[in-house]
Amino acid sequence: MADKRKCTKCATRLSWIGIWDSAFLALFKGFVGIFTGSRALTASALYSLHDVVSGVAVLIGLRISTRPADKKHPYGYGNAEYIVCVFTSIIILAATIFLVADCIRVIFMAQHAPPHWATLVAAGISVLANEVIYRYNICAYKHMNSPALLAHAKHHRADVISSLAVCVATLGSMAGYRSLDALVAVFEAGHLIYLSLEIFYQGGLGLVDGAIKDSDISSIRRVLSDVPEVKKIRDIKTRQIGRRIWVDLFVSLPADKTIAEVNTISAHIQRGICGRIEHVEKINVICE
Amino acid sequence: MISQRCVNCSMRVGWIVLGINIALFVLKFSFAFLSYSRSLLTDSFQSLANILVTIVVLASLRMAARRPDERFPYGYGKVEFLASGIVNVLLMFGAIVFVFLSLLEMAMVGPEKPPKLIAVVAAAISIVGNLVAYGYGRCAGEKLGSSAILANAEVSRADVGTSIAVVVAVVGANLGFSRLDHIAAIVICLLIIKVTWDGMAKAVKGLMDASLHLEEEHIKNLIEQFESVSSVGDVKARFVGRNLWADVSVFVPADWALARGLETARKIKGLVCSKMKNVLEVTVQLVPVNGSDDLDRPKAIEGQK
Repeated sequence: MADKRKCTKCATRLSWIGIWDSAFLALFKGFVGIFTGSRALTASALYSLHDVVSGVAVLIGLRISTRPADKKHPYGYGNAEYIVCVFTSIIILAATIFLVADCIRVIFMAQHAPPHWATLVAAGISVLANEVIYRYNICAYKHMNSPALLAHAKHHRADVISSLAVCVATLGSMAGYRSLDALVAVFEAGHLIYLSLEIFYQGGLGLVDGAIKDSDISSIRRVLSDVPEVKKIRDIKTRQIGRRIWVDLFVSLPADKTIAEVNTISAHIQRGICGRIEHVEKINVICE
Repeated sequence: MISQRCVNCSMRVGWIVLGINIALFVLKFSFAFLSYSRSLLTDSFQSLANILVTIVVLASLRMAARRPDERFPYGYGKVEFLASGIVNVLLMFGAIVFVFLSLLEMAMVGPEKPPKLIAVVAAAISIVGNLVAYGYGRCAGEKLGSSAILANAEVSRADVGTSIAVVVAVVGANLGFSRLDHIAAIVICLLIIKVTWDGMAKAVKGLMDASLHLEEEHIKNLIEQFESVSSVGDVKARFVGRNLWADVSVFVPADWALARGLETARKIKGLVCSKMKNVLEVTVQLVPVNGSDDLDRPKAIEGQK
């Protein structure tokens, strides 16, 4: 099927197109937003910036994080994706909070910038560009059934809505409702703060060696209890490196087994766990 | 012999330097507004950076002392990397924005009124304060042989340099080189960017579990002394906060009883822990010599104390 191949090609190109599009829009909207004094458009630019970051993070996840462990990084490159996410989302968070503070100042001091046609044009371009990319993504998603593409599509839809809100705010401000611009900006910034904190929380948890889900740990326990040689489970330590899971199992085995036998037992345990839990990178069975 | 007085002093030195920095920040920040000096403002920004970094270190030391629990089975040591990474990223971002603002102002406004000379007073106090902090830190660091305290003392010395630059810039601007204040501000920002970049690189290395080459070689050499071990396989070490966590694999005869293997593992662990002071844990994998297993798949067995 030639169609299928075309779709795959389209899908791989889409992530790049999405990033460049968002990067361009972020710069364009940020520039226009700051110079026309439209806070809503500036917030929308931060929104696009957020899209760039998540897009780049996904690419890094595909390229760098999957690199095998080497001498310089014996535990692999998994955390690279989270580091990019956390550090950039912190910068966006700082910029957004700054913007909110500025909006509050504008609203309370009633120093609204007069609406400008350039704001309308920039927001309009953003609506169009994002809608087109959204359509492409949805098409590719339907043919490829990839959840990542759906996530991309949703990002761009959110961008369309945020830019539409800017249009409405500018039109409203032209009609005399001057505070509409700052209000829309605060609303968008609030959503952005929520998104950034979400990324920050997830990435941060992975970076500081947070454990995996409780349900996964109990399924590890179930695997171990099926092995008759394991006398006692002393400790189960798990951590996430990027999207992969590393497990250290501290167990007691009979002391009279030979090293070769013990090796077979632990291989058995490892196969059992790998069959139950996804994304396991390495399991160390540590005897006591 | 380290006298008790020196030990007490070294416990206090972090807090004293923090106090000096906070006082200097408040002083320089307010004087920067009184005198309209850009360079003094960035100098105060640098003191703020020192304050934040010190607070992060103190807070994360406290955090790292917590026992490992269910949510963080390897302990809280890595929080320090994350926190210092975030602080450094934010400071760097702030410094970059400030460089742009300064450049913009230089280009748009052009020559303007020079900063008032009272800025020199604040800068001079800053020089004295930082020299005191440096002397303190240097003394305590040398007496105790602590590289961490010495590194902090070096930071104070660098601050002396920036404050001298502020004095030169303010005086120079008043003598007619009107741009000097802006230029000094930009130079100080570039310094801040460099320092925060280094701090960030260190944090990223910690977060990525980057290889600790020297330590790994050292551990490998230690284990190779064991005659019962056929050969040493993979040695991995990573930082969990300030402490090392090492994963080691050694080849032993396949027909050994587990008890014997564990005895060897225990000895290896004891040796490494006694020879290297900041080792948190050593896990030892026992791999049968003639086993068909390969190391890169999760099939090896580990022994631990």
